[in-house]
Amino acid sequence: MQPLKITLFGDYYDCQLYRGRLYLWTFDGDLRIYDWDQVIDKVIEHNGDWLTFLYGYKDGRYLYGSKTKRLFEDDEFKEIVLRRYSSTCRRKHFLEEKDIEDCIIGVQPAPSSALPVDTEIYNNILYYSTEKGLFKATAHRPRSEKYKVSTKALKLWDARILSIIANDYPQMALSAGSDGLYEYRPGSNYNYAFLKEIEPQLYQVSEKYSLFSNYIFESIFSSSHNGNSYISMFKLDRDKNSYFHRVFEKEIEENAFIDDFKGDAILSWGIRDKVYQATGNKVRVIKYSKWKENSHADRLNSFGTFNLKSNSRLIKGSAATFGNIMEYEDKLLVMMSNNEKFVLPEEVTRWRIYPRSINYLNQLHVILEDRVEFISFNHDSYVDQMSKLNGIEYYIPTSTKARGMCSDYIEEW
Amino acid sequence: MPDIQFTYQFEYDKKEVHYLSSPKHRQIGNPHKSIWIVTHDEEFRCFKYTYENEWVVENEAWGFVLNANEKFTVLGQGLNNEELKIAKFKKDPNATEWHGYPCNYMANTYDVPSDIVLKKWVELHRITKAKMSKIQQTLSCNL
Repeated sequence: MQPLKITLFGDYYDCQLYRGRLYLWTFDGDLRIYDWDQVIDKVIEHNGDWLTFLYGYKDGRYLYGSKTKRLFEDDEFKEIVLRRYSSTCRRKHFLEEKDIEDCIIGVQPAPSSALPVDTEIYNNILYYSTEKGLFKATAHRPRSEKYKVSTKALKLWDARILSIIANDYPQMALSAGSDGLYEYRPGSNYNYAFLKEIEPQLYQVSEKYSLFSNYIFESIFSSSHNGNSYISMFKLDRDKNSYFHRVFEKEIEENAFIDDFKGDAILSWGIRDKVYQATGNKVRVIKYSKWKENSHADRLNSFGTFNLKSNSRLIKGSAATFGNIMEYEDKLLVMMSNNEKFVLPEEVTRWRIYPRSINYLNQLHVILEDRVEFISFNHDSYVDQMSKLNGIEYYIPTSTKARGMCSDYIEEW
Repeated sequence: MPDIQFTYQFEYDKKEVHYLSSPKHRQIGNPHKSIWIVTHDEEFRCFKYTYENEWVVENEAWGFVLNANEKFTVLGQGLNNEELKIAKFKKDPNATEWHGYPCNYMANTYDVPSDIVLKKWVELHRITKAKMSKIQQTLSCNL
């Protein structure tokens, strides 16, 4: 089941999709904000298939939701859905900027008038890094406001941040290259023992090189060139009131992830329940388990391997529910969770996935030289979540409290 | 053999520009510094080309040399023998001379070229937008 694709032609540099708004940074320094549902409606107008675009682009959660899961498992319904997806995938869906002009919510100069190194939107705040440092600006402002992203950005730090990733909880992993790995905890008053506070609410997690990073549940996986990745392991301690607090436990280097490591990793990455170690001709999959009180079981366990060879250099990786995304110098490869492959055989400017999102978790957005591709993967709800090698297990926090500004963890975690 | 410094100068925009080719970045086996593998004259030509193209931001500049096939030339070697194709030039605020070294943006975030310079390279079609993004993120890109 190949993905759906919508192409928007234009000269872009970065994008974000958040709470129904598409943010597009243009190369000449603008930030264009679109009503995402209206953009999708434009495509539906031309192609008529509301069902595939509804689940593919507007409400991806219904692919997994318990209320609709039984419907999708029904053989007759499944056949209809697959036939319509297949027919829609075969058609090309092109848009020009003029086609979606009336979907614009706002156009403004890019924050700090800079092309960002990385961006992340969390809790209605845009966090972005430039060569001048790390900044934040209020985003998702009412439509009545002239600027939908505040022009009064606040500088949080002056280090060069290569990668910003938010967790489900109010934590943000910041990779600063040769300056190390850091974590920003907005809105938290908790005093992180064993970690040095560099700026208010900003802590140094490791001095070791960090190219990009992501959360594996409560811990942070930091990726690096040439087999020098590591995990900053956290655990939860109970205080006298029986509340859990996340504390730094230890650092585990690449060669200690699993017992039979052969020192052959060229790039590794981790997110949520999976860690991937790519060697020259295969990828080793390691399952990461959440911390559990009173459990002494290893949190890292070998899970499988899959073959992967390429003539070009692998430079970045991540995973979503729908599969593994691997960026090479000259292409982007998705190893889908059903073990099919999807390849974009071009040099990529930027790609984005939204694994924390409820509605957009099945999407991959890719900025290329002259366009942005909005790619929607819709196969994963048919794949066994516990046994799949490619992609993270579908999961949603059990409590809305977990998605708020809570600095303490709930028992369910 | 004593370390020899080579000094150069030229005029640009009615101002004298001085360049010092230092031996510090030519000592093979130095565990802390990248080294030039091009000659002193080629090093200077790289700087002059950089300066005259105004790939300069305050007291720092970044440049490269294109070969006959319009491809980036290897200018130096990194600490782990990496091929380095971008040079960084600096002028201390109290000094008159510029100096430089082949820089490894993948190893050192302070070596990443300024966005202003990268954007100029894209607009001149010397690098693609994709390569600019990779360099900003200190990712490998096939220059």
